[in-house]
Amino acid sequence: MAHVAEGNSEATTPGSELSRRNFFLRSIGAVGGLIGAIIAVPAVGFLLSPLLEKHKKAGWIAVGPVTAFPEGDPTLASIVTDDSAEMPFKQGVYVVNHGGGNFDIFRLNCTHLGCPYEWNAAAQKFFCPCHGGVFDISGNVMAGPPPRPLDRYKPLIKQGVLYAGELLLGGKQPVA
Amino acid sequence: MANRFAEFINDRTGAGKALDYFLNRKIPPGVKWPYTLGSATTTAFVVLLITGMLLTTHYQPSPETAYGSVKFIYDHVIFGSFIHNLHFWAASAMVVLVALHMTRVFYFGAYKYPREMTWITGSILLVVTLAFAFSGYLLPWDQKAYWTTVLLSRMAGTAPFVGGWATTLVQDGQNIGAFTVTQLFAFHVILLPVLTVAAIGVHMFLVIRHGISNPPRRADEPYAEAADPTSAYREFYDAKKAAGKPFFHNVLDDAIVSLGLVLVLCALAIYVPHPLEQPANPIGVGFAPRPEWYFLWLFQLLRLFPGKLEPVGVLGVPLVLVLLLMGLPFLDRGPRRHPMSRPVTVGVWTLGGIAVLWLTVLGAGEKPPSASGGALVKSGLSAQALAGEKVFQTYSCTTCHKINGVGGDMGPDLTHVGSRHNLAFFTKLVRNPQSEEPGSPMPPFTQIPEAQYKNLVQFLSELK
Repeated sequence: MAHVAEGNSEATTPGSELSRRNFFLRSIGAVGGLIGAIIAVPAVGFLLSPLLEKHKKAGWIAVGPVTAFPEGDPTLASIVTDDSAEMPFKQGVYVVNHGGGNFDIFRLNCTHLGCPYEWNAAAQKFFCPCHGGVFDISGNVMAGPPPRPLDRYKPLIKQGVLYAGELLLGGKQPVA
Repeated sequence: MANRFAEFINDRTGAGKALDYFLNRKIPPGVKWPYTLGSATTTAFVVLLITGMLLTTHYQPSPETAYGSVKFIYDHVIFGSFIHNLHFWAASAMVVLVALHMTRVFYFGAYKYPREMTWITGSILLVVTLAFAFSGYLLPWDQKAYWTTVLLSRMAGTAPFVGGWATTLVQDGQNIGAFTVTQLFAFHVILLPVLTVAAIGVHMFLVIRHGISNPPRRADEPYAEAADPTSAYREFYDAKKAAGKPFFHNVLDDAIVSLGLVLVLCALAIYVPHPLEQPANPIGVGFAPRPEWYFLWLFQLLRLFPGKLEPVGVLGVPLVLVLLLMGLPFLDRGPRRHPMSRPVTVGVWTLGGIAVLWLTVLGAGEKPPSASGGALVKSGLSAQALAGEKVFQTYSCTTCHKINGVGGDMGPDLTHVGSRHNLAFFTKLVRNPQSEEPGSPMPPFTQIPEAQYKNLVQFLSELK
């Protein structure tokens, strides 16, 4: 606006002219703003949709038959996450069979910066190659920079099949 | 015929008049080679625009097809590998050129009155250039691309309060997936190019509006003593400019530098190719991602901010740097432009530049421990120590400890640890680190069998 006023040397015309000008400028601004808002509201909503969309009730995703996961020996598996049913995407998980029907399904991302950590059977620890995060077999932080225990999916066993449910950050807090 | 056509275009568009003004405007004396960096940056951008457009004709942004389509371009399209490599090298060159151009402008004090907005639009272009680099990184969908994007989006996630949202937004979902590719693709090929072209337009308009800055000389600085230094500078600059030659004298310099740049980029594209790595494997383990070299300093900086301080290093430092950069013309308001006349600003910038370079070199020299674990290149070990080296590898000690440059750096470098401590120390420490070094972050390694344990501590004691 200031630019327009500066460019116009007629700015010193009588009051009526000035208010007419102001009326037009404000109207143009209002119409332009309206056009902008009409486009901007859906555009912003579209971009923010991953945050705003109601988190679908966590469905149970099959990980595999319970027998595929030997006791005490973390096993690499994959699940097809249900971020959206139309765009399935494979995620890596470590399945730990603690025995007695107790299972942990760890998301394959270090809780530090998401690098893929690896089970070391000899050391009985998970090691992350990026910044030296170390977790024990229950996903607790033993060393390094990770801020919380491993993220895990709620486990469920039904008719001999292990299912992964809601994702729990650090094993506790569900993802908002 | 050609003449009449030119005349028609000229008359109906006024292009000739505009070009005339552009080429004949006066440039102050002393404007030489250092001033060609801006046009070289633009040339790199144009190369990226053309090669990027070509790559887009064959690229398919989805986890199923991205890798294959890039591989197809690389292996089967005529000049495909050349265009791919040229795009890669031009991207690296653009980061370097933006940095050099800003450095030149900084040392010449050209961000000062009346060119503050030129500097700010330039800083915006730097941020946009880095956003280009980040968003383009994932697109080939190979191992490095995938895991580095995981890493960088988690870095956004360390932000206090909004971190979780930031990661979800960058990834367009809870995990890196199909929408991450399409979203970054849209940013990379539509949003950022439009922003860049617009910002370059404003930047160039401002360069022409304010005229090209004169190289600072201490002898010129009496204008800084005037009661009103800005109008004194105006007068001084106008006089300088009037004494200068028309701009077309400089365009040949610009053209020669740009030609040199294009030749160098072509040579790099041919002789130093940048082929795809293995396809992205979201369920692969043991892969240590490392960002492209221009983000290495940031990656390295992270090491200096452990634990709860991490967001400070990951987000705080870059944010403060960008704000300082944009605010530079308002922080350093003195009228003097010669580097020797503003030692504090120049000193801070120089130290900052050295720090970034140093961190980059540190990061580049680092070899992450390979998942398989190679030999640690230590000669003169006893047989027992050699067996101990295997134990060292088996128990992933290399994740945190470096020997002869191989390994992580969470824990101390062990290359010469045997000359600092003895066998008895190691024997107690490895099983129970707290006993010897209270507060040590090292986890206890209690499950190593006795025979192997003896070999391991022997190995450590022989690292002299």
